[in-house]
Amino acid sequence: MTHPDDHTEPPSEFALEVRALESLLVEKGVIDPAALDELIDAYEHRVGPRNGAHLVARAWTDPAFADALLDDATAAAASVGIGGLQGEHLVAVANTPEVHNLVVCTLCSCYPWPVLGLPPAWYKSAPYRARAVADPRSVLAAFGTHLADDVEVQVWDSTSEIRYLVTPMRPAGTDGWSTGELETLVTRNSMIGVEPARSPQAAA
Amino acid sequence: MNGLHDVGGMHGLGRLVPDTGDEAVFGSRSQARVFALTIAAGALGRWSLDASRHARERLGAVDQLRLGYFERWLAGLTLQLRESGVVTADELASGNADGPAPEEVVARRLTAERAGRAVERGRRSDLEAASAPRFTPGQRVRVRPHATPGQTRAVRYAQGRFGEVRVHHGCHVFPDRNARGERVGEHLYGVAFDARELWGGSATGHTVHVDLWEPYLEEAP
Repeated sequence: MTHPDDHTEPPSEFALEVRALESLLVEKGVIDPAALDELIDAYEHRVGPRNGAHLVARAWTDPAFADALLDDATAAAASVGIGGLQGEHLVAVANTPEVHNLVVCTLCSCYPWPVLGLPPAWYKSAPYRARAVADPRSVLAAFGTHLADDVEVQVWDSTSEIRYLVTPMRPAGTDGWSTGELETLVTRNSMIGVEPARSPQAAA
Repeated sequence: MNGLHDVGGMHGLGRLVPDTGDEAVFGSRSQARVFALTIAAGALGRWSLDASRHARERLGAVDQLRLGYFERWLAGLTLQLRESGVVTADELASGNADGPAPEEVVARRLTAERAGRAVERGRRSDLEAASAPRFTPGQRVRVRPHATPGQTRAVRYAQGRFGEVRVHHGCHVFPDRNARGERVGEHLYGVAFDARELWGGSATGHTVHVDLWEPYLEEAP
């Protein structure tokens, strides 16, 4: 669902309610606004899909790391300093020529924060959550992704505290690319599973 | 509870609108504040993450559909603050505090430093198991019908359906009881369901993996 942008004047009812609640909780002594600033800063500037892209690109260039990521993604991510809130139990699922993975949370909006940041609006939306489990190919089509008929689709519904990360396939034409160069091809959407990683042509 | 949050497989919920991946993390400053308020208030330790999910689910069908995502978070947080006694209904109505919160609540106020650590460390949800797991990978199971008004993660679309245990994730905090303030563990399994078992013969041939706790499951006959 969309919201009126509360940068406009006068402030929306939602903006006024939020301001009133924060001010009340500060007055009660239970909220420190500096902690709110810190949390917002973390997810706006430090924790986001670049972390996941780093893991995927590393897996593309380092077979031992790829194995470690599939074996225990929490430990593999921690080994390169990635982890934390809403990523305490990470599982990586690998796309192959035969299998395509898609992640959803039908009950709410569970999402692997340490590797992807906070979820986009569409991931939290009812239409995505409803359709991903019942008709995943139509969801992929909405993102312009069309799989061959013989590709097996695996959908992961995040009903527990296990958080899923899709490792997309390495695009063709990237032989000899460095991990840093490869990271630029690993989009957030490709790690949710709605798109493939970008091709070098698309990225150029 | 089998409310309007439990949307897996539902029709008529509108069009899926993809984005480019370049949009801002938060749609507005107010959304960002609600996100952070929810995390910071949770750190007071008065309720669990599962209780927060349940609070948002209890908002009622009309509000589930009418409110935006962070509006639901705000409504859920407000409900929890009132139910836990951190603030009173009068204080919420007037916007003014009648006095500070109890000392033991104020003592747990999240500082910026602790907030940064919480983001980096999180909190694991696996616990020591008190008993051996009842199911093993490869085993056929059925999800028990489970019509509780309380919190549950037994998605409606899988209830009564047959699946195959693929992985034992260990013993994890059980949401149904954690939402009531009882942090106890149950064995957690990744269970695979054939799409045709869930949606009928016309479904495309895909597999849906659902994480389900042992009390949700029974052996397939």
